Amino acid sequence: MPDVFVAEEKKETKEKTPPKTLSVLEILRSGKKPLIPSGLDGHSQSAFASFNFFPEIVKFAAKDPSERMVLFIRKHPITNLGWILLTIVLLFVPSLLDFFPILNFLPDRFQLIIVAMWYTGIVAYAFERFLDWFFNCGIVTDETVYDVDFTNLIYREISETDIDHIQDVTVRMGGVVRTMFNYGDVFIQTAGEVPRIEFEAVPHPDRVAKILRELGFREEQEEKKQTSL
Amino acid sequence: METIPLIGVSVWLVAKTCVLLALAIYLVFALVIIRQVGLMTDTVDVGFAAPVKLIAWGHFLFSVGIFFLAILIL
Repeated sequence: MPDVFVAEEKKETKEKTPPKTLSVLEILRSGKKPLIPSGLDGHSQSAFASFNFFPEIVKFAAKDPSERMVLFIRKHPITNLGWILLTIVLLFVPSLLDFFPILNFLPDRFQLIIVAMWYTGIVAYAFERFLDWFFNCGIVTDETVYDVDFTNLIYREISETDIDHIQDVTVRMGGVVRTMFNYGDVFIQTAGEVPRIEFEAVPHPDRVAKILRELGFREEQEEKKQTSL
Repeated sequence: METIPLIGVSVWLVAKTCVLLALAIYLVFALVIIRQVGLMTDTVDVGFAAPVKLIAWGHFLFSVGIFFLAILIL
């Protein structure tokens, strides 16, 4: 006999698990090679992540092998908007030559080479700006804070300070765009050789400061343990 | 053909020399970018080294192409 009424099967929907917000201390407590829970808030496998909490894909040459990388930060992606828009505008400049024939006094072959040089220059400009964003970064390990700066074509500067040399961490946020996208500057005052380390326009500056404070607290605890022994 | 008075050299020959000189300097710049990318990827490896190096080499080869095109057609 056919059923008169069949109740609709309830579709089981997988509830999205909220990202886990574990503190640095909780994760570092899990041993030499910290176990990173899946869905950890701020953790990413993307090479383009501006804020990567306990990054697994980042390799940093200056880091001591015994150190554990806690945080990898670079400027917020929105800071690239200016040069991307400029690049797009510059790409259309040669098409304006039809309306403003300022190169018409040159033979066609010269015009062709000049336009090719223009496009090559734009590619170089865009690539340089991308490299500037991609490789200028800040790295925080459980022992040290590194600020990696490539100031020009072949000049590299890596500033570093020990976590226990940090005296003060200042967060500076302000302006509509920075508030909307939640990014700002983090200034680290140190007692080491480098008086101040700056992370400019990084995402979640408050969280960066919190992580640094937690690591500082951990160092203090370790020092106390060593002195009491 | 337009020539520069007194020295009797074609204006376009001078222009070609200037363009080639500019492109030669640009080639050096493109090489420096390759070197710079190598330095950067050696320092911080975020798992995107190969595409970045490929772009740097592509840019260099494009510059070489324009240089030889300029020699041929100018």
